[in-house]
Amino acid sequence: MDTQLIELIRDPRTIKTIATTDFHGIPHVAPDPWLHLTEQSEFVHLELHLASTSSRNFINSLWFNREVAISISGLHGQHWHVTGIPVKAHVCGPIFRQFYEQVRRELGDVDLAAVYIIKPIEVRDESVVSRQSTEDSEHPFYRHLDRLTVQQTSSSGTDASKAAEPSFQGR
Amino acid sequence: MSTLANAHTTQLSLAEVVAKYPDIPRLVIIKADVQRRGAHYTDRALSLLDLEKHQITGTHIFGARDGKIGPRPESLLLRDGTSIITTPTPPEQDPYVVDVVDGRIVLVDREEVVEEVEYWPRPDFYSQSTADGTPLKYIVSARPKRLSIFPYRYCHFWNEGEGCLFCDIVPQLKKARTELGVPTRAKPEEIGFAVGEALKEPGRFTGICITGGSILSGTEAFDDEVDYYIEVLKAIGANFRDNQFPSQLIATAFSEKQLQRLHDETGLMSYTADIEVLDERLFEWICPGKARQIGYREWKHRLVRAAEIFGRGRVDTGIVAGVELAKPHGFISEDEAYKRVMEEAEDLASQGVSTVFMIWSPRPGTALGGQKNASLDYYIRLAQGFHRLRQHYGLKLEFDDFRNCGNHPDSDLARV
Repeated sequence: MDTQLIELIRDPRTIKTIATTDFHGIPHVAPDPWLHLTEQSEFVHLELHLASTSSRNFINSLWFNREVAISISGLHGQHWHVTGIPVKAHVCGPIFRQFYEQVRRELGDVDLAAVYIIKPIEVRDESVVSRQSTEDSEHPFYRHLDRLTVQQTSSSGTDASKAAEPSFQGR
Repeated sequence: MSTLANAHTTQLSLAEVVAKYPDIPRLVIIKADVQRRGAHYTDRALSLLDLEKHQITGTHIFGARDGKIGPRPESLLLRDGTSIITTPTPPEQDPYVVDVVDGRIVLVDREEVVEEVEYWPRPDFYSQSTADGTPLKYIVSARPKRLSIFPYRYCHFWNEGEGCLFCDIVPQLKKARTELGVPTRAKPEEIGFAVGEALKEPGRFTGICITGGSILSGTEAFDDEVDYYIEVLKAIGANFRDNQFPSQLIATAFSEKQLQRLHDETGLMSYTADIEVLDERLFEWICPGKARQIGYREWKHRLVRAAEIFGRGRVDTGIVAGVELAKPHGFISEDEAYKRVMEEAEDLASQGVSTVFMIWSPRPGTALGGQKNASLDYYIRLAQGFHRLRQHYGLKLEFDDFRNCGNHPDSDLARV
């Protein structure tokens, strides 16, 4: 796993979001503040409520090998996209207990339904800088020509990273 | 598809059933098949059994398929958090094999690794005893998410030779009492104490299930059984701050007056009276004591009354699925059995009562021991059928789901 992604996941200011689908493919998106990585580079998702949409969708994904998507966004334009399959639901035992106690320490009198382990299938750096670089190199016909002139127009920057950064300020 | 109930050779395989039912999760089908065929533990698998970390057999009201009571894994957990409720089974009965491959505990069928499993984790309170030295696990036992209480391990139907034909409660009681010192009748205050100790473990339990044998005595038949359960429920309830607590009583089909007492005088939140087989003629053969004391139609009537008292989605009945095909009086074909079972289950569902099924595991010490249960295909049809009935009639079953019970493939399907 990329060390920048590992650091980003550890940063409490990072915004982590998870998308799941139900049996019919209807999507559901939810914040996932406790998302983290195991030493085996698998993602851990804490599902608090057994009757919630994401809880039902998670078991649907585990049962029928359907992917979930994770979005991880930092304060400085970092953005990673992960797809994976939930492969295990801890509902009891030492791992479950550890997280049960953790969420109750942090949130008070809340419950925990399951601790899901997500095996990543694909991890992509989707920051604007990285994405633009890939787009330009692998899809040269997708570029606007004014970006390619000897003298670029005044509306554009000269450095993709500098151009992209301000748009993420304050997210 | 097989039409013979007792011929494994003509039945669809696990892979064929998985392919036939793409909307049913493979893990639920595996669970049903392991419950159907049982599990045999290799020495390698038993070597990973840690008495400090895992639950072992011996606490349950019913026996194992191999008739033994020694320390083996209580049962198994699948990776979706579902329990497989099964017992050690002799190899000659063609069970799944629990073995160790690459350091993992796995289910193996004919040398093919089917799925990874775990042993049930041992709860903290299993290390404790009462003041007189009785281990608490013999008073209150555990499933992965549920406390199971068997306050009274004898069944009075056996006094007249009228025990249910699939049941081994009395032979198991004798073994448990002789070999382990399990008390036949637990004291309510000890049950209350044991539950209190169990609840000290954070995040372990979501429900309490109380069940035992029928007690016929009392001013009205079963009054003594009701009185005892009220004592037990009050002792358990003393541990909770609210009047009601997530709980299930699996007992005889009580009269309306008795049900009302249970509802009004205790914190009980749900009620189950297992009818065992959904056909009047077979009920009279397979459950002679229940048939003589209460009768099939009255049993159903009492379930409906119970749903009016406890509420829709708070009452169900269990069947021992497969006994309806037992020889010599059972249905000849699975199609015929399925049709009859679903008709009766729908009649109950339309009146607010759910039906769940346990997979019949023919055990030694029972009148029907030595027979074989139904095909995997039959059990998956039942699971799908019962689940669809609940969806159609808007019946929840949270008190008897994958966490609060774990013994019903049909209620597992409510997870999505």
